[in-house]
Amino acid sequence: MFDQYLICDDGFCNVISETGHIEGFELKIRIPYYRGVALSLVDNIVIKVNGETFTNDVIRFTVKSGSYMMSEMSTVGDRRWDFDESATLKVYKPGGLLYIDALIDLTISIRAPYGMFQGHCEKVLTLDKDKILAVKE
Amino acid sequence: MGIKRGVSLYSYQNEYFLHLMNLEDCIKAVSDLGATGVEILPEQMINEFPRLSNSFLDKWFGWMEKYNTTPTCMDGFLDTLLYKNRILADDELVDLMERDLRVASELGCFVLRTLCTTPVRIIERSLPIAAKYGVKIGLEIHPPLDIESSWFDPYQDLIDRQGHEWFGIIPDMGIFEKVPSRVHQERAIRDGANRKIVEYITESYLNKIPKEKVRSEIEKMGANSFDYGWLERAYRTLYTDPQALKKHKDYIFHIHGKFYDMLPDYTDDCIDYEGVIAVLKEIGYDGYLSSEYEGNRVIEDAYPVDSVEQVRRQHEMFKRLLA
Repeated sequence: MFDQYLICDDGFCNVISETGHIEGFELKIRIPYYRGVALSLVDNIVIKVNGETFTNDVIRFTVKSGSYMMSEMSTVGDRRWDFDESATLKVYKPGGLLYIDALIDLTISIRAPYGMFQGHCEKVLTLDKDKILAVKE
Repeated sequence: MGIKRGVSLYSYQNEYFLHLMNLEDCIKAVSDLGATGVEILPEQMINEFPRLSNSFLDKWFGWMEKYNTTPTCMDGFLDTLLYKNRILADDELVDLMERDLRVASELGCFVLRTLCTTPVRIIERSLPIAAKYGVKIGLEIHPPLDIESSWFDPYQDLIDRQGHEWFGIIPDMGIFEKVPSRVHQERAIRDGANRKIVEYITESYLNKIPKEKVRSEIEKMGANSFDYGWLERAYRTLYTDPQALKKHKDYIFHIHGKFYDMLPDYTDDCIDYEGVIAVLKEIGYDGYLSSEYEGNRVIEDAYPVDSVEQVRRQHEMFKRLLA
């Protein structure tokens, strides 16, 4: 549910590390379910950007209550992703994204006690321009 | 005293999700209907869950007073699958049940809705905790589970052995679906089903044609996976005879006024409110009819959701049927 809202319009940018390298990119997402959940219930995330696929092992999930690699999330039972909150996904990809417009394809599943809630969203986003300049340097 | 009107704030979830309404706006919307009962999913609208601060609770009860409303039911989700690699142990589930009963009591709710996925042995172990907090445990009777089937036997047995002071039921009106929901049917078509096939399936269901016969017919018509999906949904439509409520009348704690689409003339052509409310009056039910608008999830792909108007229409129907 809420499929059309899962990828936020804001917050899509390359991420520059403390040492000045581009370590990947970020986007913001919403929850595909009608309540907030413990982070351990965020079962799986797959992001495709212009056809390139990224999975749990290179995705960091950050909300107010904490920041974890997706591959660590299954043990985080006492931190929550709120229903009205956007989560930031940082995708590790050295060098970041090298194009301005990207077709993002997001699939995310939440493990409810009565079955999986899966959300899917496709959206074209434009990278934050300031951070693209860094790519060109 | 009679039947009281309330709303589950679940009804307003789209507006809340989109930050168009906040929690106070939702409570005000209930009050604007002249309804009094406020049902809530804390995990949806109270970010402090499960540790509510006194300052939040002061605001909560302040709103109740300001809008002349009262907390009714808290909807809990016993996350049996909290961890991916195992099902929670019984002791852990009882701890979660205690957590939810405590939160319900802090919110002033008289009943905690528990899902049909809650094992009966966990409910039985939680009865003394319910008594300690003064909050009842209500098992939601939700489609496709049929209270007339053997699924309910273990719960009936618990009531027969332990009484119904702290454990009873919350029928969801979705178990009284007369006609397969039109908004679901239209969604199936938007998703990719063929209108002709979908309409054939619905008509066949209403004419009590066996599902397998319909399946082979639509195969010949060139059905796709969405058509088969509608075949399953249509034949899963559950219509329980409202008379079935009579034998459970002593422990109906609360009612989820589930609906998918209210028409502009304040009628619901999908769910049998006339039939059910007649029975509720007959058995002297004096709890809440708590609106639960769920069409939001079905139409949001194609239409703007106007939950406030949908719930208003349902309350106009309630007023007529309760008069």
